[in-house]
Amino acid sequence: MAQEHSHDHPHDHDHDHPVLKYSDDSEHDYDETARYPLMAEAMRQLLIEKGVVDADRVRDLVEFMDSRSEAIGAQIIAKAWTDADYKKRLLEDGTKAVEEFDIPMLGAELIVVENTPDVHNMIVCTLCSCYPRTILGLPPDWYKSKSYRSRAVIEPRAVLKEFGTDVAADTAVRVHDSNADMRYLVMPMQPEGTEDWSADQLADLITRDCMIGVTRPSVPETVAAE
Amino acid sequence: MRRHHDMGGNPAGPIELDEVPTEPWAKTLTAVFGAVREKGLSTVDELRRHLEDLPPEVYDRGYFQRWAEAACDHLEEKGLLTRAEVEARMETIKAELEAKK
Repeated sequence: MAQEHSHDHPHDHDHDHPVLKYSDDSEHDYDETARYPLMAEAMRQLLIEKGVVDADRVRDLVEFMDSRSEAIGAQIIAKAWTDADYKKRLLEDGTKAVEEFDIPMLGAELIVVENTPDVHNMIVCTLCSCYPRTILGLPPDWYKSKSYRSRAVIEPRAVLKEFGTDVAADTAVRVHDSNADMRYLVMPMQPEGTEDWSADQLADLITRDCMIGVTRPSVPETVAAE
Repeated sequence: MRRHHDMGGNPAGPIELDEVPTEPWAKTLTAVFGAVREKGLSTVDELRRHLEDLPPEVYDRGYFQRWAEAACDHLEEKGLLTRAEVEARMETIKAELEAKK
């Protein structure tokens, strides 16, 4: 009988069971004889055998998923910061504006919300865990957690504090609850002193958490001092 | 009455910020289901109904765990496979993996 694999121990032991590698070759591993790895593999095999899905297409979709990361979102926001016309298009019709970067929204609508000195935006999906995956990659665990889903809409300032983000009392906090048909992306405020930076330089400042709206971009001190 | 998945506004504990990479099986599951959806055999809302119908103790197992159970119910309802077939295949795969040890 295979043991349930717990993740609270160091990962330097030898394995006596086959382990599928992570695509990023990270050191993490898991027990592929546990219930859910078996279930995913069983459904994959059966649906391919029955001709419902195509094996190559499934592989392509895994690759596509691995190709998505916050770098894509950062590129979009940096473009908006440096190109007023693009910013206007992005705020008017997010779905259409990200198509310019060949980013599909897979049937959902994208709404980009802009942070200003008066308004701080953050996103959540209280009912499930809807997230702009084609722009930011797969969501972090905390985004899918009961704590975040429950609390973000009732005590957003307290939640933001847990991410180290203090929002001034006279700045409104707007929480956007995503759903299956509608995804949000936060356009953070461009940090002061970066007005003459290139889009590529700016993109490095824009993290996943900034675009979920739980943190704000900041200029690293080493850069600011230069 | 509010159902289990409808948790917005409920009291809950602190946010756990650990970053854990997504396990490969979870990506496989997502890709398989994406392929089913592309064929026009499923919609997001159909899957959501099955997610929301899960008993709370199954729902709370974890995001991709609940997804796997809901996908299985959904595919069975669509007549694309049965849960019994899935469970049987899981046993076969497990036996193969253990034989390789």
